Amino acid sequence: MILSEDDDNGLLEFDRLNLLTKSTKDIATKALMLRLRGFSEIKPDKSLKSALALRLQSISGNSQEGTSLTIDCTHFSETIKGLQLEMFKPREDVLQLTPMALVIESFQTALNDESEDVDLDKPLLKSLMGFKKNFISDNEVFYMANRGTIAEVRLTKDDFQKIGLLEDNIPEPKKVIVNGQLDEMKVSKGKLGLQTEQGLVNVFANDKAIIESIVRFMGKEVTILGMAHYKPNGQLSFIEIREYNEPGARDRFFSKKPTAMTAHQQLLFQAKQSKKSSSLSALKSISGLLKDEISEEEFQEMLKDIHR
Amino acid sequence: MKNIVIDTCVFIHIVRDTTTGKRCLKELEKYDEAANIIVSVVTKAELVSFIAQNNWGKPKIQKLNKILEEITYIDISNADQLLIDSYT
Repeated sequence: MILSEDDDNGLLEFDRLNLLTKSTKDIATKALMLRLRGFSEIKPDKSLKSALALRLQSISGNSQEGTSLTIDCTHFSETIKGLQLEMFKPREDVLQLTPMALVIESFQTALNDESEDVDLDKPLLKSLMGFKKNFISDNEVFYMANRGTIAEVRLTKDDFQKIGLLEDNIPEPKKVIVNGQLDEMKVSKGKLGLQTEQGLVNVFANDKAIIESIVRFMGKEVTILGMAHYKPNGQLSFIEIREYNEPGARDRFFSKKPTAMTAHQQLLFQAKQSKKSSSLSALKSISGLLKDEISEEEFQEMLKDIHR
Repeated sequence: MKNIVIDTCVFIHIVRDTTTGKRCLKELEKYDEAANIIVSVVTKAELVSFIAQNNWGKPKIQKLNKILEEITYIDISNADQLLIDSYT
């Protein structure tokens, strides 16, 4: 439902209708691909495209009640069959949703106060931002509901400031090298799991040839060169494989999850993980602790070393 | 609350309780009493490297490690534009 402007009167001009349908479909498509494939910019295949069908059933309203659109779509449980969902995360909950419910849920997630920790990637956030173009004034309000199955979402133009900030927070993808053991249990549609010293890393390849040839490393160590994609909190989302090779003797150095956390995010992350004190009083408490351990000569040497 | 990253020389002046170390603590206090004190991972590496080069004995190493365990570190990331901007 669209409310508050003179134009919100139960009628929709063709250009506006076109933008509204296109931006809504774009969000639904990206949100589904993120859930199923771990990256929203992957193009859906034919069967997924038909599962994403959104049909305009009716349009009604008047200048007092605004413009109401009824959209018909089918639950993914009826349209998506035989999909391997085990990669990235067990996401069978997506089957309980419809394309429109995914759109609503994506907005709710982005506007949630804890949104730094959630799974939203840059292309999906860009699409959510793209929805802002549907607003013709600052007063306008968009309501989206899914027959009460999930909480409705109320959108105003101001809400997009938060979504924009979230998008800015996601680090740009960057080239990384990661070493680990290819996990035999985590193979699904171009996606693999790489066990590193810091846990499982999601890797995938768009290039079928890479997937077909990398399987010879299944259960063995491999070093992957690729593009790391990150979450809003700077934690790794997944790595897109560009090249791979047999690990060299010193490749163990790369057996950690690459992150792109800002200094501020690192502090928040460490605060959540441990009870370390980083206050001035903690610094005061270590004052003089090595007074007798470091001789004057050693101390001068240390200072020289630091400025070398 | 301000986040303050202290350099290696400030850190060692403080743990050795020199006049400069005492002055640094006072300045930090003046700046913000509730400041978050952070050390770059480079400082940790410099201290560990110094120990290795000077063949410190086990008790000394243990004492330093205990201090290092109490500190909050940050890694320097080339993706951290805010951190890079703060140098300019």
